[in-house]
Amino acid sequence: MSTPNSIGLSGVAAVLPPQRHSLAELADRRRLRSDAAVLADLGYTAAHLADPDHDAAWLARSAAAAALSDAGLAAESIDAVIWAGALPDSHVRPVPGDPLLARFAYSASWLQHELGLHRASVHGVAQQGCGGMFSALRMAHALLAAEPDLQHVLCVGVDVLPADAPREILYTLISDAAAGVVVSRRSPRDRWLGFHQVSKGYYWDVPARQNEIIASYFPTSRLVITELLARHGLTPADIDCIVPTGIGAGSWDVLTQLCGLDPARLHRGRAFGHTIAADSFLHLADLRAAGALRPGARVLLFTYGFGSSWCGLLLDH
Amino acid sequence: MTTLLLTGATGAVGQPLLAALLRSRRFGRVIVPVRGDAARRARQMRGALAAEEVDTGPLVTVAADLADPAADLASWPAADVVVHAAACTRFRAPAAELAAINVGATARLLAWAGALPRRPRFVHLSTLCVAGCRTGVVPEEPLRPAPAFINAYEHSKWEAEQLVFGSDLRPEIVRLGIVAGRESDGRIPRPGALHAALRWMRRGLLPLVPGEPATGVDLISTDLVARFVDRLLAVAPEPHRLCHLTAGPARLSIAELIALGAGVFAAADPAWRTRQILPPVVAPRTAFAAFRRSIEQSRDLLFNQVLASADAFLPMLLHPKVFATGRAESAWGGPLPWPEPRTFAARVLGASLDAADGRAGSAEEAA
Repeated sequence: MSTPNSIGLSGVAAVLPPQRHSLAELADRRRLRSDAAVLADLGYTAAHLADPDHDAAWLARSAAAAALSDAGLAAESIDAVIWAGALPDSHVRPVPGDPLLARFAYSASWLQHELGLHRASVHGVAQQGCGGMFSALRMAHALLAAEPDLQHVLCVGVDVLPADAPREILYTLISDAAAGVVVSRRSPRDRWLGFHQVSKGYYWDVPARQNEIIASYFPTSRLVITELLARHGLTPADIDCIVPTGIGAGSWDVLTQLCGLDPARLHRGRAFGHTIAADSFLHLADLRAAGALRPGARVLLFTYGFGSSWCGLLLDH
Repeated sequence: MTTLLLTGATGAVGQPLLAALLRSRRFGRVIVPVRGDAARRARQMRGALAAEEVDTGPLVTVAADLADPAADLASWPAADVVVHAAACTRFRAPAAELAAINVGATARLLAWAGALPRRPRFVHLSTLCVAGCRTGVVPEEPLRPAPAFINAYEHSKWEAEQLVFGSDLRPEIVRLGIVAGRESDGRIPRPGALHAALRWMRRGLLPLVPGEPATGVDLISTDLVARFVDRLLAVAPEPHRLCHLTAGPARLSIAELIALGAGVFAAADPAWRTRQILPPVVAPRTAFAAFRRSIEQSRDLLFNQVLASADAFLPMLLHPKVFATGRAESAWGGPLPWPEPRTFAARVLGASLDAADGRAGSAEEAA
């Protein structure tokens, strides 16, 4: 019998839509709130935007299929699907017909049907902002720990901003993307060491509290990371790799130092803006594909999501 | 009849100092220069003093702006004692304004005093900030050469000290710590950079504070300043005496002050009590520099305002130092009458809460 300690991420994938728009192009289309130079100073170069041929469905299906492939699993091996989306629209497919009934045309069920995940039970995670995939992984881990018959849970997170929406939220350039992760009972790599989440309903009203949210980011992030490490008997020096999100690169320099983490161990991968759910898994997939992590390396993933929730995940690569 | 001239009598330090010196009844006449609408200010001053049951009989106001190079000081009555408490303490004020008030006005006052038929005793109120970025033990001596400074305020006050030291009036200097408020209730007539930082913290808008957690913060009370200057004037002058007024050996560290603030705010606000709002993190120099860069790059108006406000005051915490107080204690005649630091700081923190919050007892409980 497996133990919870062998639960891990057996398949990881993330997909960006091919259309890439520079800051100047986005500015020309009036899709930025700030001057393009401001976002350039914050480290952003371009955003990936979905299009009719590469929409949320294409992204989700591509990411899920790639995660299954990475895990070496067939669709019928999956026992549960957890769909994560920050935006309400991410959870329903646009279908014709009765408008009220159309609101029940769920994306997770569509994906189950589309990929032939016939054995899987279907679930959804919402209201976690950019932390949706982290919550999905946590629930996947909890399902595997609680139900011995389950072997593999597929988590899929996708968010595509409305076509006419600004591509900038609180000085963060937003890309569309999807992530797929298979959490397996016996995973040969990226085994689950621990998870910690702090949620603060005080910040639920994002428009009204946006300044307080920005200000709360560092103190609470530091708290979550230090508590996560302490709960698992680890020190900052034990962390071999910090997988960032796509929010301003400078903020990761601040956060690593506040937590006593070695900034040299911060993964500085490709720039794609901030994809809401997929950032950490775009980077993790790159690291896995490149073989950049030694077996046994301790990996820290961290994100913040509107709501507000701060989430940290520790893996043993 | 001994005549005192006190500048800066409407300021954070000057107001309580004026009250203390009037109460001492040591001076038959107390001349107070006031700027702007002198008549209105004089009425306000007398009203405030009367409310505190201070006899304003010896008080004489004269209209003058010391910072104005054209100010006519020749018409001022002569004084036996001059206490120069006027200063621009707005750390973010333009350098030219700071120089005009802190250096120019000091120069004019020294020139006026030096031209009096009988040279007066001259006491100049300075600031511990003149030590700038210097670290370690700071002696009660002139600081030469000039240290590096964090802001133009520090530089202007250092320059003023050099003028004072160079004067043949052989003035005495009292360097003040961060004047935080009254011992009884923590309130202060004119809030400064400390109070602005506390307000940002209270609102949950101050994420980081630069420095090391153990760095001490020299918060002093207006009462300590008033008592000390009053006592100093009661003892014989000692030319070029220089004294430090600090929070004393039990001063709080920045980490202790923040923790105390969190306790005070928690007593008033459920968001603090339930740790929805967390206190700022004390950040090392490089982390704070990276934070500053990211805020500046964002051009966010509010956070640049927070940063500018914090930046004027907080970076001094990156330069930990201890100020010698031997000469101050010698002038006082023993250990200075420091208030219990936690109680005092809790009252200052309590006073910084929005008036709308209105809880009197919370600060005491947190202490």
